[in-house]
Amino acid sequence: MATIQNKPTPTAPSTTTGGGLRAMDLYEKLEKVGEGTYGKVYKAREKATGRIVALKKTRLPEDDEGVPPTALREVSLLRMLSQDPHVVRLLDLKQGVNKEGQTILYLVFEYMDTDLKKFIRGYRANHEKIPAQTVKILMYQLCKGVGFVHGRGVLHRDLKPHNLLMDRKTMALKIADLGLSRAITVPVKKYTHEILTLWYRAPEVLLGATHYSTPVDIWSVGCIFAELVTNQPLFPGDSELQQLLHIFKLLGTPNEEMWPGVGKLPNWHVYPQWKPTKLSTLVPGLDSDGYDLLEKMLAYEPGKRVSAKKALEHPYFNDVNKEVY
Amino acid sequence: MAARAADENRRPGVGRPAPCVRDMGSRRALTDIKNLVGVAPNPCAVAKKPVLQKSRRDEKKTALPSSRPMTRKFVASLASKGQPECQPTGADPEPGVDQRKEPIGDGIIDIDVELDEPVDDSDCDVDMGDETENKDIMNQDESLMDIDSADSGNPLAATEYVEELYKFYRENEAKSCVNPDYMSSQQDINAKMRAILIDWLIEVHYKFELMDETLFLTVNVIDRFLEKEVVPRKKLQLVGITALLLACKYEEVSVPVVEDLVLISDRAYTKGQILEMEKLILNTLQFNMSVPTPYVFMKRFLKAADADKQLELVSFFMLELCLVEYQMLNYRPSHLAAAAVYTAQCAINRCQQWTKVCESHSRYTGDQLLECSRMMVDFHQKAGTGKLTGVHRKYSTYKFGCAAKILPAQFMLELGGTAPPPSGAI
Repeated sequence: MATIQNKPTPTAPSTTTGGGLRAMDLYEKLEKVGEGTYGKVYKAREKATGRIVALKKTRLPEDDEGVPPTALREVSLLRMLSQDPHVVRLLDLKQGVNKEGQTILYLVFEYMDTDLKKFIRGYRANHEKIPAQTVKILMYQLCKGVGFVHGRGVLHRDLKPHNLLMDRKTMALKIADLGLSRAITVPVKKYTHEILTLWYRAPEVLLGATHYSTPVDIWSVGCIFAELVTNQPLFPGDSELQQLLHIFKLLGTPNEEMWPGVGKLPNWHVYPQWKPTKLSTLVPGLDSDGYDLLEKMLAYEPGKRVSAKKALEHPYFNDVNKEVY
Repeated sequence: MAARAADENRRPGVGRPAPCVRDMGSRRALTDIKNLVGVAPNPCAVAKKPVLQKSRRDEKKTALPSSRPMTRKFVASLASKGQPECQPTGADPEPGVDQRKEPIGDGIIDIDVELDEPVDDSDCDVDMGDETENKDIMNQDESLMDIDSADSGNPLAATEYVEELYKFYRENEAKSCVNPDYMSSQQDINAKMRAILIDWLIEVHYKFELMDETLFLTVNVIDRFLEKEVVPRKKLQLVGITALLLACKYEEVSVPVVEDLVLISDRAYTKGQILEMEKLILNTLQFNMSVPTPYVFMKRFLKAADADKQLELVSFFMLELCLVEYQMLNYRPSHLAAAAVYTAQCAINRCQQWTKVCESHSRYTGDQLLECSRMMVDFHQKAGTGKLTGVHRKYSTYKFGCAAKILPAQFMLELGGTAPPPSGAI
């Protein structure tokens, strides 16, 4: 069984052979904690060290198409990005065979005790708001992580609370699940528009743009920002059309003046005309700097959307202890 | 065919049926590359690189003049002598008809190295050898070094990240390089066989209408794997098609199904063998597919050179000529990309040209590029002759602007040991 070990050192991971051991001889499954892009995720204990890890499992059926592109990209990109404190660390990679003779790929990650979706849900259940400073700290880390990922030429393309792992004690936030990510070349070329969970999907993607870039992730970050403040998803659509209408109702129906070229996008039709609602009405509880940043993240025109790098310099984050995060 | 195509974000096990050979369009199964000459092009296929000059023939997609396919005839000759036999090429089969040969022995690829017939260039009347006016000498001004400000409002240019990104590429390109002497560790294959494999893969890549970066990643994966694993010659083509599959999975929006790769290799390997090789390559390379190839540097240096379509195509022609040449592994990806742009500029302008802007963004001076550039000129001179002419044929088509028709920059070979200051430099 081949192994890739990614220790928290600057050196490249080394490949060793596990002497025929099955992955499950090395780890003890404790509980199922979720479903990833292409398989189940378990909380597990490494038998040799007692370390708690997350095991992400995918089957590679022989009669299928081999390693899924999602898995290939996720592992490859994580090997490049895992060095950053705001990206989940890939510790190890095991390839083994199960009892049925199927090849199984196990991705071994550092274990994080919650994710942002559960974190928000906890506050919502208690009818409490997340403290403003906590929102700020989480948003700062998210922008830092996204900026790092973009600076390495990678689009995440599936940023949502569920894919942001957290440590409750330290409030550390890490980007996870790079199953839909891809490396981009500059200038960015044509990619699929079937990306991103609907609620966090940028309007250019909903309108069928196949040429898109880093701003698609920033739109998602803006949606997450609003959700942290209100405990509710900002645009909870249940179809592509409903999603667009949700956005237009709240932010106003875009036109050529506010978004040059919008009418030429493949899915553009004549939509009902709505006027924009003030962000302070939609997302009560932010200060003026917060609204300014949110507005810049939710700009219709992708080229006008703030970058993660620029967002870090925004006055909203002035009182964050940047040495800690 | 029960095979399934994997779209970019399709979950495992969810696919769509692969079309039959005649319906495949941009994902055509290539049992025999020659079979497809003359097949009506897929009306939906989009040419990635528009032609340089308009012509009445622009509407017609030129089929790539084809070399012999790689079949399994190779075993008898290679296994016994280590040298392939020359096989006479039969008449072209009917377009689209499967002319699969009977397998002979258990070899894999027909690495026949006979001379191909010269390409008929008569339909390519673009004269690309004329001297052009030298570009105005630019002012040595800080603002001219900034090649991104015009794109600041364009998110597709990612201008805020581009410097950081290329700094990262430069720091990491060494990791994507291989020992340029790795072939000495191989017992059963050599640089010639590598060249034959890559020449064939360039044709396959062209026929499948894959992205440029897929080709460069494919070759990188092959070299990194061969550096680490001893491969018998009968498995070399298996390594090649599996590397192509992996590069497609990493780069492409729509991935060819494994069954298509079985067909293009003339059923030399089974689907199971390809999937086994996929696992072996991934484990050997530790799943590391995120490496800077010459392609990413090329895009940047072309921008620095303020390239038009002609310069872009001629530069890529130079770069792809190098893919086949084992000796070019001596150069880093950024060096190859810079030298390709430099050589292309020299060929187009008939004089040395390497501006301060190009030098600044590539981090190479004209002097530093000269040796590599001369090798490219040499490859260019020989490109249409000899046994491996896949790149030349590809760039002799209208789709690729007849870039291969430009006259080689022979004057580069006559220069002294160090290059004089480039005429277009600041």
